[in-house]
Amino acid sequence: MRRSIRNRKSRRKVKKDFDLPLTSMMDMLIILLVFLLKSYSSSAIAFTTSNNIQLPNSMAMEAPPDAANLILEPTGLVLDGEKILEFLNPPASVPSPDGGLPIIRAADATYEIEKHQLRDGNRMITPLFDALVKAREKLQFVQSTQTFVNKDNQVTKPPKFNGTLIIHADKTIAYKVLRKVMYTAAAAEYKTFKLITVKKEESAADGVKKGT
Amino acid sequence: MFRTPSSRRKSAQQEVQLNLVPMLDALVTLVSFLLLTMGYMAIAVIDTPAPMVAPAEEQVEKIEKDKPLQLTAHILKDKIIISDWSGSRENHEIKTVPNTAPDAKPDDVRYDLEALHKLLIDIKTRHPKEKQLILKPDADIPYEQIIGVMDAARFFDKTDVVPSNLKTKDVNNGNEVPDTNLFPEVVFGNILSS
Repeated sequence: MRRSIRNRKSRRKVKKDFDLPLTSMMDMLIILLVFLLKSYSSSAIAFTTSNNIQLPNSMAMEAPPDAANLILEPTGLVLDGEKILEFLNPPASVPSPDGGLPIIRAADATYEIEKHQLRDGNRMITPLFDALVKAREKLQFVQSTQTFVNKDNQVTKPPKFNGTLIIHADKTIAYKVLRKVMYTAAAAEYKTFKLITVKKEESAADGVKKGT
Repeated sequence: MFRTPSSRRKSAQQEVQLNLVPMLDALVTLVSFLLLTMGYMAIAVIDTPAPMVAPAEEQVEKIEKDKPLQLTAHILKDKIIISDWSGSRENHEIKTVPNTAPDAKPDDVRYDLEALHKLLIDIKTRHPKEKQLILKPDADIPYEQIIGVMDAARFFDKTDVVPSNLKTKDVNNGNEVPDTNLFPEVVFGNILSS
């Protein structure tokens, strides 16, 4: 009799499995997921900023649009991921302070451009001009093969080329380099420049990481 | 008469247990992936239109009618000169002050951007319709300094007292809404000069 009671007790103990209240955790996770997905979609434009340049800080609030990206690397000019010009005497790479891949410090860069690649009284960078014109013509060609409709379903002309150029430049860069770039872009019918900056409040906090 | 047997004993209270563990696995993976791929750097852009080579005809008319200031900031190595196009209506100078930033060298100087901001608020109060500031930096001015001047010029700070002539009435509730734009259109004026 006693044994059987003990048996029964122990049997009951084995059967009762431990229930973790997962529902509240699921609630939290789903909310987090929705929030992350939402913030993910709002910054759909992928940004590739070079590791070699440090963007200046600013209090600007405007989000970057989808447009041609020009990066003024210490070693050359990169338009939409394609290197179009190499500077003379690029600085040597130094080991990264956080132990990663070696970096090239933009503060050491000279941004020298070969004389034969400049024209218009050394104001215009010929390879950049050619690349910008090519990019514009490519976009216009692609638009010419498509038909555009407005909201009433009427066929309209393709949108006018807005000529926006996003410029990524290191904070130490001298204005004369920037001026050459802007002169060239203006000559290639790019009328608006968007200077990429890092929001000030965020950069003050520690652990700022470069996003992609 | 017997009472009807209680139905409680028969209907074994079998709670339906949803197996949440695989779903939880998926969610945790997804959340960590999204957190990792999220850009930590908050990027913003400053808009600056390229200067027009020759203003269009209607704009020439507008210039003659409104007589805009064409407020210009000459950013020199040791000072910023703020003036209108002729220097007759506004003509000011912003000096440099010692740079007290932690990473600055002992004899480093920076522009007195707080004074510049105050001055621009003054000018905006006198000329509330002005929106444009033309920047003319020297060739060797670093990009960061130019961005600093742009920041000081474009908007009112949150702590600034907006002058009463820059407030507009909200049509919905009659509250006064301050105009937070100082000189939002910053243009480089010397791109074409060599």
